[in-house]
Amino acid sequence: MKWLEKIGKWVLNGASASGDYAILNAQTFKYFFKRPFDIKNLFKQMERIGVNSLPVVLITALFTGMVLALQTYAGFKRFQAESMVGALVGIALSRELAPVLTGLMVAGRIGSSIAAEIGTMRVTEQIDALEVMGVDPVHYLFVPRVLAGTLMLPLLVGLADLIGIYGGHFLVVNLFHENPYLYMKNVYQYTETWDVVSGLIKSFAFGYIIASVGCYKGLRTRGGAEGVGRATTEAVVLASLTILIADFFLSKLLF
Amino acid sequence: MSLIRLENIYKSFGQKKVLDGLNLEIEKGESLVILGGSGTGKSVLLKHIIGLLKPDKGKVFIEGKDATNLSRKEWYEIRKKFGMAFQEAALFDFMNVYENVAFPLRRHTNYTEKQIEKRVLECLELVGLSGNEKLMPSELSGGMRRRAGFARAIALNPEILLFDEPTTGLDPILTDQIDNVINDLRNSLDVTCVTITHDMVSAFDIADKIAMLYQGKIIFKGTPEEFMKSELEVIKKFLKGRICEEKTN
Repeated sequence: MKWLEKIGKWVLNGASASGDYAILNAQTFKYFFKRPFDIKNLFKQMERIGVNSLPVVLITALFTGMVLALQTYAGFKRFQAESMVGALVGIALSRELAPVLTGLMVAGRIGSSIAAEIGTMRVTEQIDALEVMGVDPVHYLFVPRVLAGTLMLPLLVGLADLIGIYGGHFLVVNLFHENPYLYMKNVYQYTETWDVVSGLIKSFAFGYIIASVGCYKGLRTRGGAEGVGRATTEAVVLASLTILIADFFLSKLLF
Repeated sequence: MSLIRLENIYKSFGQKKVLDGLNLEIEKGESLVILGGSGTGKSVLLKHIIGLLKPDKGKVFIEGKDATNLSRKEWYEIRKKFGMAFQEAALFDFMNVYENVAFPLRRHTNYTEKQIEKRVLECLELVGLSGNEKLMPSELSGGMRRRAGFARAIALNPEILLFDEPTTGLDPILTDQIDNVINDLRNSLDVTCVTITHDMVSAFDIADKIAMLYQGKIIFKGTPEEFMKSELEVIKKFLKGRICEEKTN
């Protein structure tokens, strides 16, 4: 019966953690509209999550666009449809690859850093110090990070769309010597506004997931340096999995 | 009426009983030092006083009002009366000393930038840290970090100051400096001080009253002179400098 006990414990822990996460999210929403608004901190977090993630996101998008063009060119050539590479790169990137890959890269970079930062604050009593000073850590720490994550990820994804498409363009034109006009024409012709918009809508959700999971895991850190390490890993794993699962359901909902 | 009263407090973490029917009264204006060996639950006791932990059983009264089951929001209001200096200072490591001390002022007052500056410099002068405003916490020595923590704790003119092991890990000279700062703060601010420590020298330097925590209970509360004369075996051992080990449950 021990395994049954284990399953029961696992289910109970999961339910309790989900409830805890949901309550923290509800509190975060409540504090979005409550004074004092920490604009300075919000901009600082926007710089950290958005601007500082640019190199990683753009390199990811560039190479994804190029490899997508490289692979599909070989396939499409088999039935003389090379000119359609632009259409595929545009649609695949804007609907799926740019939001998900940007989300995963930012989860690795920012989700971990938020969890480590707040986790360290927890184990060095800085969170207790906030509480003692009558400042709710959810208001002071969660709100700017979650808002910044939610606002900055769509901007990063928009840029990733663009860079990825130009990555494909660069490869098709320079490596396969295809007509540059035809590539871009097909991008414009077959990529619809809704493809781009739906990708951006998804990225709002991914940005929210990354920041809120990082904050949650950080706040619930226990037990010194080891605990901070564990929280960091869990934040990245949980945020990445949630992004992939949310991606499926959002795609089903949006298309 | 006592300023703070803890009545029959029980607290366990898993199987480990930490507080076991603890009773304690703290009078307004006194400087109470709570002594106890390592791991006896001194920090847990302090966290009950300030509402960071809720007792499993028992009641906490602040100024005669039952604060045991107050909401977080209500505790945030009560905590404005308190200033707490943490063991390792718990300064925000992404802010310099000035910003750390200014933090509670920015959150809870409508002070202008000029008023904030005046108050921050005042607080830093009281703890002997003038001229160090621009330093980051990582650039401060252990003693300076704790004094910066004190400055942040007094920024809002609290009525009650709590010190969590203020001298642990410091050399005797720094310990003496910190004790002097605590005494100066108490004399100049007219506050009630509650200090937890296992440092006997510090305790005698700063206490009006000493309480002894042992096996989850306060087994003694009295003046330092009464403490010295106590016939309790645990206190005698403590006075001889032996570590007061908590019996495992």
